[in-house]
Amino acid sequence: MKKVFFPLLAILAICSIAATSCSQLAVPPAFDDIMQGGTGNPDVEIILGTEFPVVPGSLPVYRIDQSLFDNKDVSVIAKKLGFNGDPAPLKSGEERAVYSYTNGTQRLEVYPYGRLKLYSSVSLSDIPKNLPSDEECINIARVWLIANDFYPDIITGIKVAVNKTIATVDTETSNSSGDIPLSKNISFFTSIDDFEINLPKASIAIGDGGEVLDASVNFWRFDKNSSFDLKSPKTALEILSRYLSSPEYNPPEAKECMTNWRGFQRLVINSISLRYSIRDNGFMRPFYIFEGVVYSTSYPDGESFVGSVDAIAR
Amino acid sequence: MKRCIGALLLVLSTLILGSTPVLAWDEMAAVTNGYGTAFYYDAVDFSDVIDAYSGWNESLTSYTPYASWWKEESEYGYDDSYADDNELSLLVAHGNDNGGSWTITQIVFPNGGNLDDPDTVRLGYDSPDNDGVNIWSFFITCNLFKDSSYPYWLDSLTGTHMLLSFKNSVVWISGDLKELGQRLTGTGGFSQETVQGAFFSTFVDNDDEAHYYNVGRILAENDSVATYDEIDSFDTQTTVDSTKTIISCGPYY
Repeated sequence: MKKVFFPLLAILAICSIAATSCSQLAVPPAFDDIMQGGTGNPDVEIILGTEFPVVPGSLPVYRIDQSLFDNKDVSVIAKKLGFNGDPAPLKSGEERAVYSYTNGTQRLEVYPYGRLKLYSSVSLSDIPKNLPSDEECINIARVWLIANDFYPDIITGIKVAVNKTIATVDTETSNSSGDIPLSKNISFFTSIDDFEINLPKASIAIGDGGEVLDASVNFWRFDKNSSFDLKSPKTALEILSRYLSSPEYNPPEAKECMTNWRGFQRLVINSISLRYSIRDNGFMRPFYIFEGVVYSTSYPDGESFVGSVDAIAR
Repeated sequence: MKRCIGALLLVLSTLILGSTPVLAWDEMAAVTNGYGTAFYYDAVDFSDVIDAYSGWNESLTSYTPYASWWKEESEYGYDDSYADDNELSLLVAHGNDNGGSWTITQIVFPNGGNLDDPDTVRLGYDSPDNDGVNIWSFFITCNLFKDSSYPYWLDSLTGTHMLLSFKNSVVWISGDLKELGQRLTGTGGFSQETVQGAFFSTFVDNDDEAHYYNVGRILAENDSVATYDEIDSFDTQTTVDSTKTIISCGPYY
């Protein structure tokens, strides 16, 4: 009996180790849970206007801690930002994905995986007339982050963008006001293993009077998972090209590739970089980010293009 | 006729119960079955969340090759059905940028044909027969409101308050539609948001590579409905004029 028992235990132990190892290695294709619409254009012209970057043969994937904040942490953050009430209650049987607070015209969401979002309700009748300069907005955002102890330790880049606009159009005369900026958004980026993280560590929207309207801050904490071999940039471009030229709604490449435009006639790629980014709150993982300009007969002046390709070799 | 019966029932219930009854609004969701079941069930979750909210009833949740809505009778369509017969409609379908001024979509008219002519649509109570009830229509589809396309849709704002869709190729995650419903109703831990806020908060975000590049675009009758409309707070008879408001949000970088 003893002789049978020990081999059984050994087999069980090996199975257990194998199962653990498999679960560590289980990194799904980057985009197998999303939906992107439209079809590609079989006649699309893709012009490579830059060189392929030099990349390592492999990189680690990081697993994001899903329970960074407990109830007490959430309460501390809420009070720090002036939200002293209770979070929005749950109904019977509901699972809590977010702690949400309201305070007058402001709303705060805190996510247990380590994220906060602050929103302000503003009347769209109050069109901004004098948004602060980019430098002033950066400074306002920096002061707000420091005052709340949210300022990132490492900043690898700052971007200023208008990401919300309003316009009025008269349908009888076709007169348009053109797009009027409602706020300026300041994004602070950081890095991991010397590679930039594509999503901002913190992002602050500044309004007309220099007030902080919206904010998002990520407090990611991640554990290093296994390292994975990477595709070459050339292979990533081939996948992107097949995706953009496929007449199917969901070609096989859609599991590894995502773009912000599809169906256009011409793409000029101006930049290819290897960056980390987040998918489905679970993994911080490497992507090739292709940036450029797309042209179509319906937007002959071009639109900004971004394509993300899963960098992990499969 | 349906409205008369509804009004009669409201009066009768008021007399019998001695209190003001809750108003009844309808919502519909139509999903093209090319998306697979995960996205259909997400739409079902959306409908369930709205249906469970006081005053709202689910009238239709369909899963067919084409997400149907309606077309004006004057344009050889069946008027006042599908989207125009519901205060809130959610249509989920592919949209193709084929290089034309407007975008070809899988959203079709009940009598067939792709929606390649947005000029034929009039949504809301001020449509030619004064019989539509639509207040908000969400179109989860690509490129519908690209710069060259959205002006064709402005004439369809005839009483409906907002049409909510996207400028570019939208990317979304299974679960987003349910979250949209939760943000509209203030359930699942979310605080209740305006219709505008719920749409942008759900689909335009920097939380995930998938949401990062979306550009949401709302065509509104005026800035008041865009600022204040909530799922239980809106004026069904908002003034319709020739000036429309367009709000764009994203990308989030």
